[in-house]
Amino acid sequence: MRKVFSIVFLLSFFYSYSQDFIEKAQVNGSFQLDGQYYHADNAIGINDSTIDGRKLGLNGFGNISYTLGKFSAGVRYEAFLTPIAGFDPLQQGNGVPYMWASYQSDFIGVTVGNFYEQFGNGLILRTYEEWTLGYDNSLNGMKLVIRPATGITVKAVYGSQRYYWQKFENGNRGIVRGLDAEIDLNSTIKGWESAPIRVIFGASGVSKYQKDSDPLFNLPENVSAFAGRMNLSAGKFNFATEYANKINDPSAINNFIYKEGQAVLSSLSFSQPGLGVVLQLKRVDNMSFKSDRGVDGNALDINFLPPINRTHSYSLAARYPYATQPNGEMGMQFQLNYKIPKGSKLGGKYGTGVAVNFSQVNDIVRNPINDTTPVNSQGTLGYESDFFKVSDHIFFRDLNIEINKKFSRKWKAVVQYMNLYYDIATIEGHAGEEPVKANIGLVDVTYNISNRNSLRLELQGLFTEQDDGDWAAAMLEYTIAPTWFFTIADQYNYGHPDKSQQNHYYAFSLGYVKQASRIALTYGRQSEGVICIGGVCRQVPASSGLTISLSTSF
Amino acid sequence: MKAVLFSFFFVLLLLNPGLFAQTDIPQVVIKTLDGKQFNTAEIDNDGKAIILSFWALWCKPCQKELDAFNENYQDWHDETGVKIYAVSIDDSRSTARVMPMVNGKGWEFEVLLDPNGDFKRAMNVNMIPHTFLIDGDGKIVEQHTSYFEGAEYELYEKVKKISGIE
Amino acid sequence: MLNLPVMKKYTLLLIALLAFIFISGCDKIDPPYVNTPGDNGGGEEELVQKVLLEDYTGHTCVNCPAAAKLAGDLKQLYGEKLIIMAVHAGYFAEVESPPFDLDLRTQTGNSWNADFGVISYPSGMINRGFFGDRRVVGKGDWAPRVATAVGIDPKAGIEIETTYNESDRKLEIKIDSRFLENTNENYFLQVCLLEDSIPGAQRNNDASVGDTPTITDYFHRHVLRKGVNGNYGEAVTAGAIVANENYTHEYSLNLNADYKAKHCSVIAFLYRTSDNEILQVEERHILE
Repeated sequence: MRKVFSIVFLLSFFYSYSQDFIEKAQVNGSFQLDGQYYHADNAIGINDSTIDGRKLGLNGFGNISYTLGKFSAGVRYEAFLTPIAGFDPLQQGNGVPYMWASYQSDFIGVTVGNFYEQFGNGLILRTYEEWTLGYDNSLNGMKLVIRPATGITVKAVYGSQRYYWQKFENGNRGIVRGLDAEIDLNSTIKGWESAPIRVIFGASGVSKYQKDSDPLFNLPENVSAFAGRMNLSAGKFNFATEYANKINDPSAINNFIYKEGQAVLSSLSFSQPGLGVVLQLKRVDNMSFKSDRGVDGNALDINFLPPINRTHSYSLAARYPYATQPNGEMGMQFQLNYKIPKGSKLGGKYGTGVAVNFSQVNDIVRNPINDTTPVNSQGTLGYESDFFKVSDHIFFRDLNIEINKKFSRKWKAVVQYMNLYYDIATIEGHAGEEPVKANIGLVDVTYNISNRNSLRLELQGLFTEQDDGDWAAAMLEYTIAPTWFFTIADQYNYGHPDKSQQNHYYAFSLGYVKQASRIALTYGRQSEGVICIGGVCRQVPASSGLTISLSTSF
Repeated sequence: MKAVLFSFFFVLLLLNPGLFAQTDIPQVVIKTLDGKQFNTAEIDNDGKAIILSFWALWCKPCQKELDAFNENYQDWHDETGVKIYAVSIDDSRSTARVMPMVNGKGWEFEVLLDPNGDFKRAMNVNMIPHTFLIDGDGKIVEQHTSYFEGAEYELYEKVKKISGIE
Repeated sequence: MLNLPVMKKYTLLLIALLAFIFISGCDKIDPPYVNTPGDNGGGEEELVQKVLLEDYTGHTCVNCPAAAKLAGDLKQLYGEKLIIMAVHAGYFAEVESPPFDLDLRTQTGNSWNADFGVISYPSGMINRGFFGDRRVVGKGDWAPRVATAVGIDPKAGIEIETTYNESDRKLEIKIDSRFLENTNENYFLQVCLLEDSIPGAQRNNDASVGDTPTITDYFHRHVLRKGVNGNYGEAVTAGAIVANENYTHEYSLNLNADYKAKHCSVIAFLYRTSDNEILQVEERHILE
């Protein structure tokens, strides 16, 4: 309450008072509102007009920041009244979960309040927000950034993480402390500025404290994790790698085992104009790192274990997304981007883009620690795992080839083929179901009717014998640059083994964009799903209704 | 009470468009393609216009917009001296794949990496593509989200206007 | 050699100090990792605070067997002080094709599931109390909450007497409740019938607990079979509650043919109507 009044006071103060405050200061912000109105839809099994008892869902936020010279401050107000379908019901509420003030100079930067930070690739610390997923694990405390010399950066963070709307009190979750140092050798060492090889080293340490009030186990109250990284660039090659290690961290995610955790993420790439090739390798072993050892699901993660497969943008290609298995996985990804030159026979007048991407993730090999203890038994060291061994159990495999070509000023097209292997039992928690093997093909054609008007057609097909069977999708989009768009889309589950569930999931959209403001209206259906992650299962209901989305930035 | 505060801000916005016009780019430290730190204060084009566009590997319209910019870049640069910065908001799951893709597509802009969204947040970018037009004095004069075929022509008209070319 | 301004050399020292402070917390635990069970009982005559652990579960819920096992481990640690009740409700308790065609849901369990807003499984409540602002929690929070709840001084006592007649399957229940202090708050008494060790199938994804993906010879423990006096029970007494007065309630019901009497038990708990928190709970096997 007091906070609200002081913000209002401050604003009215500089609004009505000094011209200086306005003329030299800068105020920026953005707003977004997503609202949904649900109705019954018997065809897809929705028998009443509410989702979990709610008829209306509303997610909104307002962000304002104020900058004057080296000082800046900001707030974000959020409201989930009630959260729209697909969002965790624990998000229900409204208030100001994000407030900060900061001073930045060349030598030192201090931030107090809520902040986001990433050390290296995020393997031991990453706090970030993703509004569309309802993810926000910001740290509330203090952040310090010091640059003692050119090319050397040291960061220190201290605080507690956000857990939906629950205030930090009396140790209801842990406290996080972290330190990161990075040295860019080419900037720091005299005479290396134009060296042909560029080297960057980094090291970080993060520690969390949480009281042990568990009667069953003798739990560590301070758990630390360390990471070291290196980035080498020479000519057209780039090699980056990071290794992280975490000491014993028994938690609800790893079934309370006392094994240490490790993660490695490496990539090697080659690129020159017209050609880019990259190979990535990853190993994760017991690296879930949360502020509260009792929590499961998506909340309170201190670190971020990136999935290294391609994120798809077309709806059917993105139907079976992969999520990193924090308890263990071995992954690789290969990507090649090539532009067949303009004027060549295959390339055509404008050149043709080819992208080949392959990724695969397997489980790690786990061996029992002794003859009497089964693997993963709680209250033990859990298991032993050979660093280089890869299990035969495949979690995910994705091979996709994409070709895009501009034919003329009026026509262009994208064609994509994808082959997918998806262990739905492990990834989505649908125990007992066999892995989904699917072939996906799509065509995306754009026709420019005139300089400003354009029509786009997308046709997709997903062919599989598992899970819900075959799908076909089509979308027609008409745009009038730079202002209007109209879309009609449908996803048809024609191959569903149960005839009564062969539904159409249609959607109509209309939108208006003016500079940085956007309004969109969508009417249609969303299919249901079951999610079992982090040890908890939740059903995401199907929904049908009207969605309105408003956003603006200034 | 919170709703009152919310509407207060909204009213402030509506009543004072002057308060929010012509702003500078905030200073945030992000990275170049080889991992070196880059302060956004260094975004500069010797007094000429700058186009700053936020994109990601998974954002198709962003790539279409950047492809459209790329096709016209040579001509635009010759005529107005405009420089294009493309900031990728891909996080560590895709950071390693940005450079190969940029090169594979033959893009000629200066590409920067913002893996934790620090610059994106400071610029109040929520949905991508989000493109800014910055004049010779470093002030943001124009911004837009979404990309539709043909929108680049309108953007270029504005570039010409602020570069003093008709 | 380094581009290091002289006056900023001290910052390296400061950084080293910060590093030491931040990373000094590093607890590497040596075995044994598990605490051995301590003293379980209280004196025979003294009142003992008992805790109800409600486990909301279902037979197609893959993460639930691990939670049931944890509840069992806690029961071993606390003995009589911990009473477990498994409520089969929600999406993962629905009847499906065999072997998941066993219906363990109850009207009482369904209404609690909706009232308390249970949406993910497994979820639990410990004496239906709030710790912070959450009542329904995942299994990771059960052990510390039970530990806290068991340590509270008792404020009421419950005694259950049962008489069971094999031939007509009639069960008579007599509950005596007694409060240690006067109070103007409203308290209700809820009485439930539980059945233990019901054979069935259970989906599972934790190999250290049982077969995956399905445990075909599973025994559903401490299953809520019936809310004997309705979904919400009844008031302990009409007027204000007086210390040390005995409030008696009697019930009788016939056990369903498929219930095994030797596995059945009656539980009774007193809860405050203002916030639904449980004050005291008691359990008695009907064939003791």
